[in-house]
Amino acid sequence: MTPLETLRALGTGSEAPVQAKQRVYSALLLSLEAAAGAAAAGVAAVPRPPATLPPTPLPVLGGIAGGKTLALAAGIWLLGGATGAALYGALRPQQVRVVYVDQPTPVSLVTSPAKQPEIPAPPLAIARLNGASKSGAGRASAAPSTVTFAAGPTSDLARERALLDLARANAARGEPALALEQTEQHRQQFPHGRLSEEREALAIRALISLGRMDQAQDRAQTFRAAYPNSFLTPVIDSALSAP
Amino acid sequence: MGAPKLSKREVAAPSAAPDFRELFEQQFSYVWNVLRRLGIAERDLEDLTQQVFLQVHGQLQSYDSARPLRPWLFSFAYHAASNYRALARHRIELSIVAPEQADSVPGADEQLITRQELQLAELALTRVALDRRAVLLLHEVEGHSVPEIAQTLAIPLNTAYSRLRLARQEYELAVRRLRAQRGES
Repeated sequence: MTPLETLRALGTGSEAPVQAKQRVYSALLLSLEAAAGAAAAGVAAVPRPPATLPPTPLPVLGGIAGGKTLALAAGIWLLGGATGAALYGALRPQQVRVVYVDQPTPVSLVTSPAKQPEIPAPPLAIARLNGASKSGAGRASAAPSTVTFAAGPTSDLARERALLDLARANAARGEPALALEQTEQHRQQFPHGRLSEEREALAIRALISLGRMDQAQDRAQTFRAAYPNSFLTPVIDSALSAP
Repeated sequence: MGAPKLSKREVAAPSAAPDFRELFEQQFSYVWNVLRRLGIAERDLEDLTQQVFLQVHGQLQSYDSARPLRPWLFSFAYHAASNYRALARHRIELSIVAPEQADSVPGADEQLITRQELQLAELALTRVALDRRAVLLLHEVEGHSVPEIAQTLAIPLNTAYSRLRLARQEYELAVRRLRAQRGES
C-alpha cells in the first residue's frame, strides 16, 4: 500500500470524546447567551433620535439693520435647518432590520399587524426595527416583546426557537421572571416540542436566578430523568452548585 | 490518482440550512478531527472547536445548502487553525503534536492496514505545511475535487493544484523519513 493510499484510509477520524463534546456545547450555549445579552444591551444603547431638528443658528450679523438683517437671518435659519436635517439623516445610527429565517421557508417581518398570528421573536429580530424608532429609548430598555410574522407555513421549530431565544435573551439581561414566564408559555404551546430540553434547562436557570432553589432542584431532578445524556446537564449542575 | 469516493450521505448537501444543534451533534467529531489534523494542540482543541462552532452559528443563515456541508465547515476550521498557528507560542508546539490514535478504520481496510501505518500517516501529515495540508486532507482524505477545494479555501484553482502536488511530495517524503527513522525499508 502506498503512503497516499494509507492516507486515504485514515477517513475523517474517530469519534471525538463525549465529555469534550458536552463541555464545548455547554460553553457554546453560554457564549450565545452572552451574545444575546449583549445584543439586548445594544438595543438599549440605541440613542433616541432628537425630537426636533438641530437648533437654529444664532444670527451673527448684528451690524446689518432692518429687513436685510431679517432676510439674511431667515436665510441662515433655513440653511442651518436644512444642513442639520441632512447631517442628522447622514449621521444617525443605521436602522437595522434583522429577520429570523427558518430556511427553506422564509419568514419575513411585517410592520402591519393585520390578521397575522403573533409569536414572540428572538431578540435580534426585534432589534432596532424601523417602526420602533418613535418610541425610542423607552421601548429599547424594555424587555423584548413580540413581532408579527408574515403569513406562511412557519415551522413549529422556528416558533419554538423564537420563543426560547426571547426567554434566553431576557434571562441574559437579568429578567429571570420574564424568562420563566416565556418558558412556561413555551411549555403550554409546545408540550412535546423539539426544544423542550432547552426550555427546561432555561426554566431551571431562571428559577435559580429567582432564588427558588427548591423548585429548581425538583425540576432539575425531573430534567436528569427525562434527559439522562443531555449536554445541558453540566450547565444546570454548575448553576445549582454556584454560591 | 483517484480520490476515495464519498458516500452519498457525505457528499449530498441537506435540502435546507441545517438546524444548528443537529449540525453540532452530527459534525462535532468531524470539526474536532479536522482541527487536530491541522495541528491544534490537544489542550486547545475544545476552545478552537467552540470558536469554530460559534462562527458557524453566526454564518449559518448564509450557508448555501446547495453546497456540501463539510467543506464549508472545513473552511472555518482552516481559518481558525491558520490564526492559531499565527501565534508564535503555538508554532513551536506544532512539531510535537501527537498523531491521532487511529483505531477506527472501516472494516475491509482494517484488515489491510496496520495501526502502525495509520499512525505513521498521521504523523507524516503533521510535517506538511498547513496550507498544503488543508488541500491534501480535503482531496485525499475527504475526496473532494480540486475545484471544490479551491472554492472552499477561496484560492485560485492553479494554486490549489500546485498545493496538492507539493503536499503529496512533502507527505511522501515525510513518510520515507519516518520509515527510515524506524529502520524500515
